[in-house]
Parts: sequence; C-alpha cells; structure tokens
Amino acid sequence: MTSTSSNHAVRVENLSVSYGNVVAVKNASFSVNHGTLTGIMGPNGAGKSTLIKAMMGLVRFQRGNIRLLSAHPSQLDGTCIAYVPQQNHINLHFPVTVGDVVMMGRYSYMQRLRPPRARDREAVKASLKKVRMHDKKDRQIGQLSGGERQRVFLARALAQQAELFFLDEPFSDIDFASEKVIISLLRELAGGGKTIFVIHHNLDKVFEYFESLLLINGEMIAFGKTQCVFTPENLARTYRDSHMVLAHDDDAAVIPK
Amino acid sequence: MIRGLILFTESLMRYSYLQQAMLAAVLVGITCGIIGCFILLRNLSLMGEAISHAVLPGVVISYLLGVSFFIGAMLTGLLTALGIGYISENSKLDDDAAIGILFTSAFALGIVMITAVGGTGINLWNILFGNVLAVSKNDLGLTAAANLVALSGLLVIHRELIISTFDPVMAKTVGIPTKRVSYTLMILLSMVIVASLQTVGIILVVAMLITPSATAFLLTNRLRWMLLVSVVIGALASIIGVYLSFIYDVATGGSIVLVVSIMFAIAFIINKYLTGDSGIQ
Ligand SMILES: Nc1ncnc2c1ncn2[C@@H]1O[C@H](COP(=O)(O)OP(=O)(O)OP(=O)(O)O)[C@@H](O)[C@H]1O
Ligand SMILES: [Mg+2]
Repeated sequence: MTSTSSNHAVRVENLSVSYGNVVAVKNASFSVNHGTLTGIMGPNGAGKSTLIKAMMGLVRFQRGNIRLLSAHPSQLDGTCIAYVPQQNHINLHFPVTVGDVVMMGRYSYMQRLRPPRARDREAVKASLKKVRMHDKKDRQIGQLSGGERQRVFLARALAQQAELFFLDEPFSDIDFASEKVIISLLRELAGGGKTIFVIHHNLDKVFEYFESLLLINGEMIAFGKTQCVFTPENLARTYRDSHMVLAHDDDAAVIPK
Repeated sequence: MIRGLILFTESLMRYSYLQQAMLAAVLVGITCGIIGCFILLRNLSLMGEAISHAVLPGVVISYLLGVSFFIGAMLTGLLTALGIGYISENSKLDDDAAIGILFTSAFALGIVMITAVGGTGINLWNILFGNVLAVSKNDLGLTAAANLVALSGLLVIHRELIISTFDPVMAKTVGIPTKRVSYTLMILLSMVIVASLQTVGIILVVAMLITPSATAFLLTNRLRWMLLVSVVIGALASIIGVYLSFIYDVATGGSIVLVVSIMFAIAFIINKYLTGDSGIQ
C-alpha cells in the first residue's frame, strides 16, 4: 500500500456499472480525502444512486476498481458505512417507531439474542437529540413530516458511528428548518474527519453546501473542487437532455425543458 | 349457548382426541400469527399460498415411500419456493407470475398422483381442508416440534429479518446477508405450513398466516404489539373455531378461518369508522 492511496478515504478508478444492457455508470474516476463533503449531481436516471450503491459494495460492477478506507468494499465490517435511503423507498406504514429505526443503526454493535445495552440506548438518544427529534422518539415512522423523517434517518446513520456516509437525496421535499439541521450536522461530521457523499438535486445551494462536487449523466462529467466543477459548460453537458442551462457571467440557471 | 359451553367443556375434559385437537389448533394459531406478521410485511402472502399448494405432491410421495408426510411435504414446498425465486431472477417474469405457474403445476402434479395411485389411504379432503379431530398424539408431537423450531428460528434472526424487511439496502451496508435471511424465512415458513396441514388444510392455511397479522396490522403501530395481537387473534380464533365445529358439527378448518375473518371485519370497521387513526401507540 502506498502512502498516497492510504490518504484517500475513497478511491474509484474507471468504474462502469450496467444492469443487463443498461449502462448506468460509465467511466467514473475520482478520489476523496478524509473529512470531505462531496455533492453528487445529475438528472433523473443519471446513475447517481447506482454510483453510491457500487461504492458501498451493493451492486456488481463490470469494470473498474473501488477502494474504501484502503480496502475492498466487501472487506469492510458493518460499522464503516452509514446509508440514508432515498425517501420514496421506505414503507411508511411499517410498524416501527422513530426510536426503533435509530436503534437499527446499532445493529453491528449488538449481540444476537441480547437486548440493546446501555451504550446502544445512549447512542440512540444522543443521535436523536442531535437531529432534534428526541421528543418524537415514540412516533410511528409514517407519522412524521418528510423533513422530520429525513432527520430520523440521519440519526440512524449517526448512531452507526461510521466513517463513510452516503445520503441519497436527503434534501428533496423537506422543510427549510430540517435542511438546516441536516447540513450543519453533515458539516460537523466532515469537520470531525468523516467522509460524506450527498446526492443533491437543487442547484442553488451547491457552493454553500459542498466543497467538492461530482457531475454525472451516465458518464462522469466532472469531479473536483466545487468552484472548478460548477461551471455553465459542465452543467450544460450534465443536463443537456432534460434541462436548459442559462449562463450569465459566473451565474447559471438550469430550467427543466 | 351456555348449555353448549358446558357440553364442550365436559367433552374436552373427557376425550383426549378433543384435547389434542384443541392443542394443535392453538399451536398453529400462535405460530402462524407470529410468522404471518413477517410474511405480511414482506408482501409474501402469495408465496405462502404457493408453498401450501406445492405440499400436495410431497404428501403423496411420502405415502408411497412410507415415510412421514412431514418430510415429503417440506421438500416439495421448499423446492417450489426456490423454483419461484429462480424463475423470477432469471427471466423478466415477476414473482407474481412465477408463483402462479409453479404452484398450480405442483398442485396439479399432486392431484394427478393421488388419482393415479388410487384407492390409497390418502384422504384428499383431509389434506385440502384439514381434519383436526383426527390429530394423534404422534401428530401433535410433530406439530409442536415443528412450531418450536420455527419460532426459535424466528427469534434467532428477528433483528436481521426486521431490518432487511424495512430497509434492505441499509441492511446490506451493515453486513446483513439479506438473501440468506430470506431463504431462512422460506424454510421456516414451509415448516409452519406443513405443521398446519392437519388443522386447517392446504387451501385455508394462508388465512391463518395473513388474516390475524393483517388484523393486528390495522390495530397497532409497533411490531411488538402487532405480534402480540396477531398471536392472540390466531389462538383465540382457533379455540372458538374448534368449539363451534364441535357444537355445530361443521368442518373445523373452515370454522376457524371464518372466525378469523369475522375478527378482521370487526377490526377493519373499528379502524375505518371509529378511531381517527391508526391504533395502539
Ligand atoms: N435494479 C435495476 N435494474 C435495472 N436497471 C436499473 C436498476 N436500478 C437502476 N436502473 C437503471 O439505471 C439507470 C440509473 O439509475 P439510478 O437509480 O442510479 O439513477 P439516479 O441518478 O439515482 O436517478 P434518480 O434521480 O431518479 O434517483 C436508470 O436508467 C435506471 O433505470
Ligand atoms: Mg436515485
């Protein structure tokens, strides 16, 4: 292992992922240091979710190489990766409470046939307090607003005490207060050396939220520091099929066609 | 009504066949009530239907080989469950279609085998609709053992089962082998179904899996309450069902299932018209 590779929390080389004949991700290469908050952007069906699933070792990829924490994704134990799912992939009628959901994050720390221990309960409580949802810990998961629910899933990720965080569109359809709680926690995590990937849809907060940015539309379009990547030309290439990009000096607006 | 109750209690004290029937029915009610919750939450009702029908050829094969019907029934039930998974993974057909094809094939095979063998000791009616009053001490032991194994299995994997049902992607990221969990559930489900054959029979066993758990799902908001309510409903319906079938001399399986169905109807009405929303917190 060379010293340069171990500095990177995540390294992806020439990654291509297909489902049958559908190529979802083509030729993605990038490396991310510890403590980086990276945004992933692209139109619907661009392969964003597929890219993070491949990074987490959940979908098989045809070509390329992925290293997480200098290891192959499948060699990591259950405590390394925390994942926050895309909202509409959750059954809202499932009979679990907010507290139950966050306790799922403690799975890798619990022993079979043993109830949660004090440190598990404390981790759940602390995580819920951080996202300001502790007072609603006994609510059924469907009886929350979209933003509250997203905060609960972030709390579950916090309770995992992971190194790498993957969030699939955490800011879609949520209230402004929840968005602020979530982004400030993500910044705090990154400040503490955690590496975070966030799939993002909204173009106006990009500079404010992410220090590094990855643009994808099947093919990886660009990756790097946000100010270098978030340019009208790159956006035009990323959203060419679905949106119009209006550029004016340093400002760009992307409008659905 | 009172007289019927007294007659039933007296008979229950006196006749061991009735005691065995009651025990078997309650055991089935309890175990189906528990595993049924997971089957419901994973949308596997049709899978239960498939396994139960696919048991038929296994029963005939067991008879021909002279082994316990448990073995053959488990085997063909499981083979069908695996076959369904294989077809839906290796073609563009959904589970739904794969289930429709496979369980009818297995069931047809069973029917053809029974008629081909002819004049055997196999009573098709009993297999299809159950005959709990014919449960022997031996059968009861077997039923109890199968249910115990299934419940222990569920206890051992309950955390994995819950997480992978709720959020399969997250389950994989924390290292839960989600495929193995769902195969284990299939095996346990097959055991429970085979153990229920004598009580409610092939055709009606799905009702014992789905109706109590669906009723509990309507009335509760937490898994532990859902499990508890489902078990109580399953057990209670079994007791009432055996009682009614004894008093009115009607088929036990049908009578148990009817009681469960009435309970569901009541819960549905309560849920829809009486409570503002959704049950026990
Ligand atoms: N399990 C799957 N089987 C087959 N094709 C899939 C599967 N998952 C995704 N795809 C296809 O791969 C492509 C990329 O999908 P993906 O979900 O990664 O996109 P996305 O960028 O996350 O989209 P969205 O913004 O809608 O969430 C799409 O064309 C999609 O239809
Ligand atoms: Mg997606």
